[in-house]
Amino acid sequence: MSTNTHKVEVEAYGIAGLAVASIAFYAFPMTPLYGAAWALPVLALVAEFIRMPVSSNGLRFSFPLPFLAGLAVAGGPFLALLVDVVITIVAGLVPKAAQWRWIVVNSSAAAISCGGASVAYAATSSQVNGSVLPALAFCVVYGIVNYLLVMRIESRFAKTVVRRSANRALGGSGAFAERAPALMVYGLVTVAVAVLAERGFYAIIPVTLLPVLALRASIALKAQMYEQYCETITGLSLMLQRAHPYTHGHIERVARISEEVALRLGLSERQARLVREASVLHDIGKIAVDESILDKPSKLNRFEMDHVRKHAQFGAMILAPVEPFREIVSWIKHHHERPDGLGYPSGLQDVEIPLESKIIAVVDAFDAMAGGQEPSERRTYREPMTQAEALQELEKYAGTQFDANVVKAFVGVVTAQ
Amino acid sequence: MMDLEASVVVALVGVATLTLMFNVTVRQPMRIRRRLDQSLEAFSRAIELRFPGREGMTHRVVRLSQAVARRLKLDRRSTNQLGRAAILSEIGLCAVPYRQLNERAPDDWSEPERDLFRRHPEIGAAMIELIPSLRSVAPIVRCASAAYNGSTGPTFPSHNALPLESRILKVVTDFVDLERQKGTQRAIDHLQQNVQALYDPAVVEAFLDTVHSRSRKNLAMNRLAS
Repeated sequence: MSTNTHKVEVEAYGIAGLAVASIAFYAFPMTPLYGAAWALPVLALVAEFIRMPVSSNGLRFSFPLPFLAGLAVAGGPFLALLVDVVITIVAGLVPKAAQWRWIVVNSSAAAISCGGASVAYAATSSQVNGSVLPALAFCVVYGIVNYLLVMRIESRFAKTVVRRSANRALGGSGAFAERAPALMVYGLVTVAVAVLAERGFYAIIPVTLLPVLALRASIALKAQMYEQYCETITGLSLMLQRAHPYTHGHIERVARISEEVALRLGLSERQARLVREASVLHDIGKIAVDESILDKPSKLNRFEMDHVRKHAQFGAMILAPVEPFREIVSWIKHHHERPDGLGYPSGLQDVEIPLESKIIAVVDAFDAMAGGQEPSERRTYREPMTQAEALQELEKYAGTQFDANVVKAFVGVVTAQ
Repeated sequence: MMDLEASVVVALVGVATLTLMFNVTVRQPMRIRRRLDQSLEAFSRAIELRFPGREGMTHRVVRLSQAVARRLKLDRRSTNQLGRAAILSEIGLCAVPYRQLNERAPDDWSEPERDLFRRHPEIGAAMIELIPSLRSVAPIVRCASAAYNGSTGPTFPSHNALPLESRILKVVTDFVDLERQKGTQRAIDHLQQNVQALYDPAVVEAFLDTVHSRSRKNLAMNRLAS
């Protein structure tokens, strides 16, 4: 995206944020804070600074939402919006490499999220007594608006620092069930702060920083577990590449295309991500295969063929001890099965073969035929085919060696590129 | 005084906080350690599948190394690191040709092949450097086959600059390798003959004490059983 387009978008965010703030100023009267109620903006600022990085492109989570909800109760929704914008600007000014355009984008996102949440808060307050439901409405709407805004900003301004509320981390793509407990706790703390603020128990509110800190630590540990999982994949891949250097480019290509084929076949994002990871590891069993047989330029004899074919089972044996891989172990074990039952190692029939294995089989075969244009990646036993020739081979054996639907989806992906 | 609604909400937050804190201090760290052990098991299994003759060796090296570490009064963290290093020091073996280790005896290897085998911990260390959570173990792995007198492996200004964990791994790994090829007594003889040149004397002494006390323990248990 060009710099001018970026500039226009940033200005648009800035204008939108100002507009929302202005409307909120007139729509929601502000009540001044007194005494211990000032704990709320201070806690919101502290929560903003305990943000944590969650991705290499600069995305960070912060946790001010409970205290913003408390401010909406104590001083009105506009006060919550004002504090949210101010703490975002302050947090944006702290890094040495602070960039004004990101401060504008982030604070506008804060204003828009808080503006939407304020509307929900006001609408719910007018309908019900008490602060539980209005606080929940504030929390949910803030989360949804913030999530949508951050998704958009992420897609438009990749590889830049974007503040996003913990709601994104707690929701995010992937299995909702995994994140539901954290979402519930966050919502509960938000409601608790709102209830305490409504009743004037401001002295107790700082204690709610404890569950927020614990939640942050829990998210950090989950991120660490995920990093560890990725590092295991890296470690095993490195071992394979040391044993068989030609596989590096092959793995990268198969992984990328497998994920796209999975999405085209209607698998969820989470499932497609797992297919990608399985594709990175699909040949891991070749660590245990004699490289002189793999690299043999002439036809393999029966014994050599049997030896090479063991790589599918070896792959499953290597990955079996690792809990996070248990879902993909069978996909890797069966990635050389065939719908006509003539595959290996188990000779499974069509319906018995996991769809994910079928995807890897097609992509793996295509890349074996047409991939490896660099000399170091060439297979020793044949020259690579052209893409068109390789696609023809796939279509010729669709229904027998390869699943016909998977071939169709694969052809769609390749021709769209 | 809090009303019922506020009390319930605060109580729920209290329960949630306690649960979270239990997760953060006990459950999740335990899961992380368990997953790390599982990952190391996967690495170890990959090497054992590549070189079936080495099956069981890695686990023996881990157990013996940690026993020696305890005898030398290393703290728990260092002992755990040593266990991880023992497994990771093997991953460089994936660079050793399949047939060299599976089909030919070490006595028949050429000098370049011997050199590649000796350097496999350094190869493994270079791979580990690329994995952030394991990087701290890389220095131990890199020197796992270094001679005490500096004649092979990375050079150090003095004997004691070589990490103690590496000195332990050198003794234990060589012993286990030789024991498999030539028997226990010859492996012990080799260690004793090469103290100071290849092996740290204090580590060899601790190792021999460990092995002998295990032998005595096994003997006593056999007598009890019979």
